[in-house]
Amino acid sequence: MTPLGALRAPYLPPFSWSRQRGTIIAIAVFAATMIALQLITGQGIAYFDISSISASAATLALAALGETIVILAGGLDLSAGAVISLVNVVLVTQLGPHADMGTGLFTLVALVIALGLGAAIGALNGFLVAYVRLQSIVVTLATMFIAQGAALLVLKFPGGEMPWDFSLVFTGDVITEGLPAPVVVLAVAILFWLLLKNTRIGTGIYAIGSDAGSAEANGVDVRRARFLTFTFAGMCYGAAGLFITANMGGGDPLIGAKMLLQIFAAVVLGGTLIGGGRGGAVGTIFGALTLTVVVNIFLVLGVRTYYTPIVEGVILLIAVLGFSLGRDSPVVEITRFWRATLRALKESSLPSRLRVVGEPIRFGGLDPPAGGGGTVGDVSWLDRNRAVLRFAVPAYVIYIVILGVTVGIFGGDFSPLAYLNAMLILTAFLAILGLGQGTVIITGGLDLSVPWTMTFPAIVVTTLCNGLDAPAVWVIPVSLAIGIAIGFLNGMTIVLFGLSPIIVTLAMNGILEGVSLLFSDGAPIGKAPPALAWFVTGRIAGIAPIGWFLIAFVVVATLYLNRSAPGRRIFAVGNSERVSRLSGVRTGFPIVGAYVLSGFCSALVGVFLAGFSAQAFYGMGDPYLLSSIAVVVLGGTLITGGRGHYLGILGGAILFTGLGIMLSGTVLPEAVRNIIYGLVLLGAIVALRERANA
Amino acid sequence: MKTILRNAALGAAALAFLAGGMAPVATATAQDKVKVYVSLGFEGNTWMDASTNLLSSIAGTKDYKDRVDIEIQSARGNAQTQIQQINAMVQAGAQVIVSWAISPTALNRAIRNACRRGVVFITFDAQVTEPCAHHVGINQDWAGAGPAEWLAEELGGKGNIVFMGGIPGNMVDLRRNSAAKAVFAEFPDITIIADTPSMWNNATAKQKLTEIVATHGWDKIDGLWTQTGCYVFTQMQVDAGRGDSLKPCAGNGTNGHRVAQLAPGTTEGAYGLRSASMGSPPWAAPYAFKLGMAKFDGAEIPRFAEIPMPLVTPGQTELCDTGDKAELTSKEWSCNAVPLSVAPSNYFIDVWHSQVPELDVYSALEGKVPDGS
Repeated sequence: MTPLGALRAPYLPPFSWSRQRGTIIAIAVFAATMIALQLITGQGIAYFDISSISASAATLALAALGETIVILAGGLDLSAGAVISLVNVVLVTQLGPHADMGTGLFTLVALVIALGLGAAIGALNGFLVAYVRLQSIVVTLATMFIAQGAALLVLKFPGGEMPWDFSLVFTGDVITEGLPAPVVVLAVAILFWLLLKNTRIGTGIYAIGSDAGSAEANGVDVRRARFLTFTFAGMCYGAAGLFITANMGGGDPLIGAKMLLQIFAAVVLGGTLIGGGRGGAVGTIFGALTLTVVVNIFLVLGVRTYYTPIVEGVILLIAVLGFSLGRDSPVVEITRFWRATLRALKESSLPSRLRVVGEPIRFGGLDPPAGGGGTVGDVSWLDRNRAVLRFAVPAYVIYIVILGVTVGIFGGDFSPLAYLNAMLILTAFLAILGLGQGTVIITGGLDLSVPWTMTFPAIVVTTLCNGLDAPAVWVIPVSLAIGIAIGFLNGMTIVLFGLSPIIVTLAMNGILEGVSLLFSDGAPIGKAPPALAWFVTGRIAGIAPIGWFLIAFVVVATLYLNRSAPGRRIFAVGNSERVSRLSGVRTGFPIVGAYVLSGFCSALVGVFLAGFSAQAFYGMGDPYLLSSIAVVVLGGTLITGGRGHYLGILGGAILFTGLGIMLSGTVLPEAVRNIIYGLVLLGAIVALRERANA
Repeated sequence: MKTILRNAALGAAALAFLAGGMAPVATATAQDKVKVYVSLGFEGNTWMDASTNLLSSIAGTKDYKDRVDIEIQSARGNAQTQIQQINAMVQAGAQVIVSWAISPTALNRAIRNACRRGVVFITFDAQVTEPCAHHVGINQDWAGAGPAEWLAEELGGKGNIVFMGGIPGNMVDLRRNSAAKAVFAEFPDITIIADTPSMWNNATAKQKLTEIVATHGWDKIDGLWTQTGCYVFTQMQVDAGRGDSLKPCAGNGTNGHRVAQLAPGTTEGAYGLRSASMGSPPWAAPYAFKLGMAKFDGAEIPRFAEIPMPLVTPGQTELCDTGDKAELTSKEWSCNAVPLSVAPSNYFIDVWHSQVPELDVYSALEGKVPDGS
């Protein structure tokens, strides 16, 4: 298709301050933190400050630039950190030994390798998202596992050495005591972005992020634009990998592992809207700089590290509030709505109070089919549930294959009862988390606060019970209430202020981390009550009590999510919030309800996990964030909301647990296991792919 | 009185050793206190908690409290943040930096930059490859091989073992694992039937062990070599009704593990466990601080100050009653566990040593400076 737009200059709207609000706020926040830093230290900005801060921020800024491009186009990329690790280890192992080629050539080859490798992985993501039509969050989750595994295969342990002169090219001075190289790197990044933004690809990125359908109708090649989005993003991660390699001077296969949440924070602080269409990478780069300066401020103030995650979370929330408050913000709209409702109450003119008079409305003048609702019964069960079966069944099928392989490998030693109990206990954790995360995902959100919403209640239980059953009677309900309260806060903040769920729950996760550190002053102590430990690891009629609990839980969860009125409202909101509202659903309630449920489920699993290992630990919830998302997706839930079935999610949890049990029993290296996880994830979502144009 | 004199004498001797016979430095005024920064790669387990408390405690002893300003920061597991914190510390005028490095390579440029500005940089436990940094720690190869040798002998050179490392891709983890596997390779009748990481996290260790038992069954497992989780391993056997024939385990140095090695009835939690308990001692942190200060004062200190790795096998556990300074001094720091009423079972207990005679178990638990220190 040759769009007409190619023939004449693109229409450029006049410059408008309000369109640039996000970028301006991002720069202002950065300026404010720099001024704060100077006021605290009582010194001016020295050359070393600029050099050091820009060097510290550059990796984050480059990676966040890539993430911004994906987010602007309406996607989400989880592979950034793993790609950075992979580029780092490839550079150190493949190029590091050839330092004798001269700094100029060495740097050039490094650039080609880093950008090329990054772009190649990005292109793979882009191909799967754009042409195979898979959901970006799942594709990149799978490539994240694969790239992380590959990084561990390339370099098993940190090591290697890059030449000092190469490091200086990126981290030294361009003009001695005049212009630090990292500042030039950031300037080149901004230039790259401005060039990209003003091409037709740039216009396409914004267009598909705002409304892919309209973009397509207006002649944007949506697939090509989406493919290029991920390719450019991958290139940026490659650049970030190159910069951190120069900054470190060595290799570490885990270097990018902890960067992902910070990358999101930089994007959001930069004023880019999660969900797409609004924002830009200039703001992102200043967002990254702000996050960097904040660390320095904490250091100068001597703030105890416990408070840093709290302060970072609060800064994040305040920043996004600054971007979202305005005449059309949800708070204003909700106030307007309640004022109207109150008035209607007074006048007794609420729709629900009006008596329906006369005939029900018929559409298109058609009479209802003879026999009324009875016709539904004539359709076979299989036909009615075909759609649900199509996305819920693959997980079970793959699990049966895994079970077969497990029995095949461990044949002689395999004890069905021990296997069943391990499956039940470990599936229970993921199945419960899957209900919470799944419900949130069906409403179109995402709960990133799962790790610390699990950990904090677990710490409360072990600290206050300290190995005794008696206090558990009130401590466990209090812990679960804490989970509910966290979910309520998440949900209310999202609904009242219209903030992106990713940011709110990300900030909440950080705040809870700080609260947990403060609550237990450094290291959690105490023991889980014996009754709780028994509930998870004991036996009733050969089966762990939590296994019996799981069976009851599945029945209730299925009825709730797929057979109840509140459950239907959750799906309605996920399909279209606007349509649901116009249909009379008070859309705020199901959304808040979903986060409350997720908070409760996280706390419940945290408490169970404390019983399982008898103790609570910081970081005990960390492995469960990505796995909670993975089981929801493996179970056929659409990550963009509106589609899913609890029995599918359960299948995802069973599949994930079965795969883990099979792999743990072997002597395969962890790198290979990571790659297997990634491939199974990819295989599952290819099987779940929508046939028609979704 | 006698104890105090003896303490003072010991303290003086240690200091003399550290300072390499230098003349005592005059007490500095508030303005020119030595700026000591502590940069921790992570924070939030009992091992790091003990190390952090011991560092605050040593800085509060009479040798240092008037001449040192100490500030502790953690990078929360993010290497990029730790690079930046070290840069910011140098900017803020650090003179000595004591660090637990999140990565042996990632901080190298930042460390070299610090060294060039005359900062004394010393790591404890987690080493870096940058040659200008000093290091205090155990021999990580022996930390893997020592327990492996004990386990192989305990099993009579044959049997099936489960192997659990730490975090894949971590240098310390790899060195311990490789050294241990080299030991097991010398015993052709020992088979590693499952090999999986514990992520240095008891909850993960429990999950992985549950998964392994599900496929292999208890009868096929003869022993466990692990970096985390002997406690979990033992508890699981008790839960499964196998408490009277516990399988040997080679693993970490928590107080609960040491106490479990004691003969049944000695104290609460003692049940004669056949195991090897090794660990990287948290007292390395205050010792690194002392060495760093000695270097700052002009003494020569080694690039790598190797400290002895505690490897406690059955019969070698010795219980202190209180673990306070007086008791430790009188027992010449020979004990290696305290009752569970003093320190919890998951507490890494190698917190005292004659190299840091100023400190005791309460320095580690609460950051207290013992009387007279």
